[in-house]
Amino acid sequence: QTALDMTNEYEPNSIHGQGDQFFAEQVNNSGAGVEITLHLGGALGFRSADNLDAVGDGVVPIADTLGGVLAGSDPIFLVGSLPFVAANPEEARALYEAARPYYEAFFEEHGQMLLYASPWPSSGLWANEVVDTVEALAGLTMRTYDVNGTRTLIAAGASPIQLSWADVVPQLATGGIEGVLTSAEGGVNASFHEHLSHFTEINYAMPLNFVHMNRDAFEALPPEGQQAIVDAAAATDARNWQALADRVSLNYETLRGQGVIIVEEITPELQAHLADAASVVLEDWLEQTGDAGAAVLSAYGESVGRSY
Amino acid sequence: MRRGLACALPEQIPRGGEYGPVITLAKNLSRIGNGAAILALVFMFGHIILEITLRNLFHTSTFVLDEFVGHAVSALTFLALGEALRTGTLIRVSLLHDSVPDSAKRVLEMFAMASALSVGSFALWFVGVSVLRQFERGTTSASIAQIPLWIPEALVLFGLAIFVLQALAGLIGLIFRTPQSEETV
Amino acid sequence: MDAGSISLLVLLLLVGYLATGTVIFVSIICVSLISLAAFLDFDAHRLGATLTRIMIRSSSSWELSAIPLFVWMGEIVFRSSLISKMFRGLSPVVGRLPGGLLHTNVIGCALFAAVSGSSAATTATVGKITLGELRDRGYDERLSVGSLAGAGTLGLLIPPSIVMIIYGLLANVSIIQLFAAGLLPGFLIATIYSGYVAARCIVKPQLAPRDGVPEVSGRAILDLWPIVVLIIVVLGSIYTGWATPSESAAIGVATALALTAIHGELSFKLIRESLIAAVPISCMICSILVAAAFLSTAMGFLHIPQDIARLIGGLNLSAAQLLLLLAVFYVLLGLLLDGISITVMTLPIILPLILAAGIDPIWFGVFLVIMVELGQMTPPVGFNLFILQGMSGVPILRVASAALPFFALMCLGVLLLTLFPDIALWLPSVLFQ
Ligand code: NA
Ligand code: NA
Repeated sequence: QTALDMTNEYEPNSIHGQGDQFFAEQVNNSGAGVEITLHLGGALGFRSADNLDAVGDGVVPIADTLGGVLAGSDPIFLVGSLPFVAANPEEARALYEAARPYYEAFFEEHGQMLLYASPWPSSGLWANEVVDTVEALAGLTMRTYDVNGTRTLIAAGASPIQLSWADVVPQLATGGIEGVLTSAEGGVNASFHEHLSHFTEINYAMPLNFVHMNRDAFEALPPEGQQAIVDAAAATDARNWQALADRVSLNYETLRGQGVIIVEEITPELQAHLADAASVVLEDWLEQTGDAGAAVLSAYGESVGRSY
Repeated sequence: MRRGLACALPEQIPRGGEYGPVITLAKNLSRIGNGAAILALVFMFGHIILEITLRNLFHTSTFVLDEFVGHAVSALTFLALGEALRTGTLIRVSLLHDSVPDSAKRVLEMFAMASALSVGSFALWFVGVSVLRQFERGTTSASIAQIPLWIPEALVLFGLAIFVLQALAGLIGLIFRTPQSEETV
Repeated sequence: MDAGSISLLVLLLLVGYLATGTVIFVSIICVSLISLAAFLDFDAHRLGATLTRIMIRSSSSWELSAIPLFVWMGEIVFRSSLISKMFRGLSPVVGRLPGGLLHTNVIGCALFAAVSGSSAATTATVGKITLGELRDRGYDERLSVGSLAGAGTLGLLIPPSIVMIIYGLLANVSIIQLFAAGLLPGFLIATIYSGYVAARCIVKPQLAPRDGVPEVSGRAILDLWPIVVLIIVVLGSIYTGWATPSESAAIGVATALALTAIHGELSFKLIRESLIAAVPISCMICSILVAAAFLSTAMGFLHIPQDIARLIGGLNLSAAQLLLLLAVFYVLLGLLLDGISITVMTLPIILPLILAAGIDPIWFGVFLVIMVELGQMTPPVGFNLFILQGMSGVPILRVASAALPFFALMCLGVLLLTLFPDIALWLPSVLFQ
């Protein structure tokens, strides 16, 4: 019997919390003598930014990590949150598959292995009005979750603000910020409906979380244990992408029940305006990542029939 | 005012003997660390006020508030450790000390200081390993500022180094001090 | 070994280690290292890497910044004439009540709790302002320290509150409704505390000196204006959206500096001295919080909170039995762990039990926060005890015994809250219908 701990910083009912619970159950019920204890909500004291070193040093054998925080080690991890590159679950998955060899090589280099990805539903604009025109977006004070979002919104004429997640709800309640760039999921989890009336779908990006495991810890397992992990990872990967579509419709249903208006269409002008703003971010990213970034985007372009 | 500590570290240690310079060095470094911790507090204040002003008057942000202020809190905590140990601000439970004979008290004092020295050295070593690795890898934060991560970790490292030196000085002070001299503290 | 025996051993080890007089933060780290090595066979490399990550993570916390800033604010206020003015102003108001100025502890904490999100900042700030003054005026030390230890914890119950934000995110309930739910229970407990202080002083008048209480005059009450302005500006900055609760501490410092300037007392010397005094106290509080975070990680690796919570889950209890058992469980966890860790580690297992038993999750949030507050008052790991020992020089066990009646009174508050759940649920139901 081998006991393995796994850490993530998300709530039990969040999409990542549920995916990881599924993974742990698969392994624990496989009869391979491996018992995973999942520590949700950062209960073990580690945040996403700590996980690369925590897993690399063998402190925690398995962790679920927000891709964006790894950008400081390798900018390839920003591909998931590049604005307006992947608009739906199919495209997000294609993008993931295109970049996967690079992700795997990165974790390998750090003494780890990539088990599966856990995608976020698409980010949109939470606000107290329909944000479907260039004018509506102008000057809107919005909380963003990463560098790409901040730079895109600056270029688009909005006023992005960086806040810690715990400060977001108090700031919304008091009108300190006017909106948030996040998914419908994020808004459901933090009860945004109490403060904001509209979610405008702009199909901004679908960032990824990565679940990675310490290589030595994996190799120390008996063959059937290793197999159980690999099988559970594959099953969870499939489940997560499947769950994504269901999750979006479930979130929308919840939000409509709470009286939130979901705007699924924006004006072509705004679409073009946002694409312009995003192109700067995209170019900078390509410059930062060099050949690797270009290779990922061209492979992705091929699979979805666009050219980058 | 009587502090919570049964004894702060000796201020003047004539009995440090040949280790006197270690004690003086520890004291000076502790004070420098404390000065840096004060700067960290002032920086925290300034950055938050700047952020509030930017957000409310100019609808923009420094985009690095929680990152920078977080590093300032950790710098403050660790850089002030040495001076806090030296002056006895780091609290401890002195119950047993008050009710045992002087000789046993001295043993307890030495155990306490040796604990601080060993935990401090242990942490110092591994934080040092981490700083070195961050430096070699060139890891940065994922924010817009892309701060090299070895910088904030190095502040923790300096703080721990001062703390370890101060604990060493404290232990030397205890070893070279006769039990009677404790009232001078 | 089962979770119960392991936690008992860790507890004994910690008590033993603290008794040697090793500084508290070193003791806690040492015991955590020993526990991980002894029960889980962590080697030196894994121990060191764990310690490094947790130390750096838990100290570089944005939310923690409110502590040094509020401590600094307290030091500025303490060094100006604002304090003597406040006491001059409060004397005619509370001076006639039995217990006199002791009520400034309770009232001060309740008001300050409305400004700060943590109990450490509340206790440290109000303690800085009142402790010395009450001692100089000859008030009973036990009652003064005890009421601070109890009322200081209200920082978590009266909004804003860091623990409530975390509970809200984890339990998927509205943070604003939680805030509203905490308000009345907070004032209820403050009232119970004030009532107890008054009752003690009626029975034994020498606990609170009666002489020197000035006549009620409009002039004396006017002396309260600087403190009132300080509270209004800090609260106002939060409720107008100018500052987040975490940022309000910096607003507090700025306002305190402005008020001293208005009184003509602002000088380089005041700023320098307040900073020199604030840094070591902040270092003491934050370093213990860092050590406590590491202990929490160790307990997490040992699966102690999860195992015991799972055990409770297997008992199939009625709602009342469940709450009683949970109360005992949380008080025991509170001996060793800080509030945020308790919340985060147990909630994934406890919350489904609560929902299954038909208990309102908003009400349970308030219950849990009070449980966490109780833990701040119990040794060996009790933050309010640590802070008060650091500020008053009273040894920790004396602080703990002074806090005991207030611990019991808070338990009474929980009982009332359980018998009359509307104490918590009425306000949110009125505000958010
Ligand atoms: Na509060
Ligand atoms: Na406690």
